[in-house]
Amino acid sequence: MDDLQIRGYCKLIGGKLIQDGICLLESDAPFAAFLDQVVKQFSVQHPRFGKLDRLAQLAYACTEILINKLKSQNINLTEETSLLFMNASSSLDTDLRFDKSIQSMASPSLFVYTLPNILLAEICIKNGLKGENTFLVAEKPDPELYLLQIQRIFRDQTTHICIAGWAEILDENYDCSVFLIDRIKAGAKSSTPLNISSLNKILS
Amino acid sequence: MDELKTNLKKQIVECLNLKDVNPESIDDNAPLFGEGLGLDSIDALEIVVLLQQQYGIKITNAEEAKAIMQSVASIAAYIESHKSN
Repeated sequence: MDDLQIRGYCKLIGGKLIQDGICLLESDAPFAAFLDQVVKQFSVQHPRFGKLDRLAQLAYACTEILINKLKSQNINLTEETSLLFMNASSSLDTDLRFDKSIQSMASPSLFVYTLPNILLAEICIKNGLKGENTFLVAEKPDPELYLLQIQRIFRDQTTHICIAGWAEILDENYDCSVFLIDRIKAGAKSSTPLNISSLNKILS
Repeated sequence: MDELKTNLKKQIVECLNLKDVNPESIDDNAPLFGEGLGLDSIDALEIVVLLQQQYGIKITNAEEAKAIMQSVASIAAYIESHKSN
């Protein structure tokens, strides 16, 4: 098994945008206004961002900000990039909205988001990714589970990059962390090897 | 008819959450799908729901829906003809 490293991370949590430990934006605005601010300030591009549900918007924006930052460091995604996301509430935030829409007439566009893994498709389509993608539901961000799953993904030798994350939203409570993992080149040393301690730092 | 088209444009923008689209900028005869507004199949279903909720019109035939939803003008014409029936 090759050694793996974390190349960077981005977090959107409680009105803050944090990248690699540095808070780049802080706001008291509610989620929708905060995310609007994030999208504008960090040039998050999507042909129909408003069409996504809130969970997909959160994960997509956080991922795009990370990818754009890493591109500037010449770390580019390949077609074989894999995705691994988790959260606690699955698509409950949208399920509740869809349930409300049923009272009058079911909304088709809400219905398509009543699965959490749709956010993976949004990220894949935008970036042309065709690697394995996984969405798991867990009670809380569990570094051991991430480590186990990431190591499993990299056992497939076609995977050179994995984008992993925690994307949780329910009402005004949201917490998203996205990070990128790749293999450490032979003979090279990494300042952020993938281990429980580095995962804890990102996910806590 | 003009008022109906104006209302339809506003309702479509609101219902489909087209944040960057000004309803007034939508051409009456511009295609709604593919080119033009670039709507997709889920948007089509949302418009079907909108027509049922706002105008009491039920569209059940997919081929018929394709013709009705070509443009704002074709939707308005269908609503008008439905009213007179």
